Amino acid sequence: MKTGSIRDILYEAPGPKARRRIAWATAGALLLLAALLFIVVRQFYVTGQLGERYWAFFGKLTTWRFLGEGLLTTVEAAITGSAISFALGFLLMRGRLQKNRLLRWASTGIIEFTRGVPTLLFIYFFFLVVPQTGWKLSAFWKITLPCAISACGVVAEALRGGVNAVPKGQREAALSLGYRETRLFYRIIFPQAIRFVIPSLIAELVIVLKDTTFASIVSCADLMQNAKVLISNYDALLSIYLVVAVIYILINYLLNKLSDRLARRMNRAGAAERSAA
Amino acid sequence: MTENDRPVIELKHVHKHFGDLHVLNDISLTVKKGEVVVIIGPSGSGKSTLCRAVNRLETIDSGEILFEGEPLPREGRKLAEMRARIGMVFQSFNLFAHRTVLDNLTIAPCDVLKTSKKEARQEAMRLLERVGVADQANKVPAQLSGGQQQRAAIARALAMHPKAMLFDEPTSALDPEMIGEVLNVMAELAKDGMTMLIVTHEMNFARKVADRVVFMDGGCIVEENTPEAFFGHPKSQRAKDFLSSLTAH
Repeated sequence: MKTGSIRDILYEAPGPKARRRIAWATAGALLLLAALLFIVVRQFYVTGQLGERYWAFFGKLTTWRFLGEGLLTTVEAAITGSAISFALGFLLMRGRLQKNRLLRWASTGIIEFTRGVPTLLFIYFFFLVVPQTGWKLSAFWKITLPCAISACGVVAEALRGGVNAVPKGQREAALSLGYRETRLFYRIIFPQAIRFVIPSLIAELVIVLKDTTFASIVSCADLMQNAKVLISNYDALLSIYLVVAVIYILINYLLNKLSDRLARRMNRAGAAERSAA
Repeated sequence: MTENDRPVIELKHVHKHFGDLHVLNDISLTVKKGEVVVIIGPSGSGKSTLCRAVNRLETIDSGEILFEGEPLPREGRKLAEMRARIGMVFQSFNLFAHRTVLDNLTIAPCDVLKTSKKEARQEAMRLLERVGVADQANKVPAQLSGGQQQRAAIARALAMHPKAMLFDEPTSALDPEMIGEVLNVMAELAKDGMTMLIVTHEMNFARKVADRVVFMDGGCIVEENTPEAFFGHPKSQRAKDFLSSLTAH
């Protein structure tokens, strides 16, 4: 069986009239887009933003190496931050699903707190408050840790959603075979839950990656910070931001594509399971 | 008392409420070694709850449930060990969706009984052969038909070498053409001397395979008899009504 896209679920197949209307709307939208692009480029031209001095340095290897170093730091921070947030999120999810009331309340509290507080506040906390306690952190950790903490509550809730999505018959079957709670969770429930939440986890990775752009606050040399250095060097704000934006968009686009593909694969497996149940 | 008269499952004055509903009302029932007891009754009569209470998937309010003479432990390792000795087959199969059929049969013996991987696989293949799904061993459950899944689920329960088997409406979720293959496996099992407690709507099966038929209605055991006597001459009006409602169309 072919699994349909969301569009197939939401709308019925268009008839001849609807098809004509869609064609006109598409043509109109394309025209509008072209006009917008023209206006932007023209404005660039008029204000001299297309001038050689704003773009020439992109021909130099050092520019790209500098941006590349920043990108590497960004990727490192995003991966490390996500890994930490996944680990913390897992612990919080386990805590929230415990029978022990104290553990459950504590976990719920931390989850709600981290979900409610903006990332920027956590960054200022690590930037301004933590150093006063004498805890010496490198710039890298000053951005990575707050990003991880800010994400961990959302991760915990995503994981909990996955755990709750596993049919309760799976648990009963395992209990009837003599499983006890802990092993039942790791052997039967979690391996199934993780398949439901991989797309949400990748979405969270994208959010962590975007949060790392605050790194310049703590002087961590990520892509954004290095872009700012270039901007003051060459006095070229627009062109550099444009290029950096394209780089961010590309990375996140690839991540989202990956997430889509994984989700589709999971859905196929899931649909087969459900239709057989 | 001879070996064969030893009760394997014993319920004594069991009560359970779901809110205002008295779902198990003073249930006393004994299943002896090698005996096949079939529970029938209208939906909502408490028969599934009774079945699930035997391995404590449902807790009870009062009364006593004994397995092989020992009271059912309330929690922890003891309860898990007891459950491992009682096989259970569910209406919706509940095969582990993330594992192959073969893994479904080996995972619990390896995890719970600490059987070696090799031994568990051999035993699993033997059991899959026995229920006729050996050729599906390396597929995931979703790729099997309902009848095949249920037969694999029976094999999964048997892999634990249970002392008794509970069946909670094992054919209710199946397409009609697949009911027979599952009932055949169950009849084989009964012939081999397995102690079985079966909740079902399959009256012909009950008539042929059961040693005893228990009729439940409104949380009570209304009638308990041999299949010939029960289906031939039901004593209570409720049983008569129930049986005639089945044959009315």
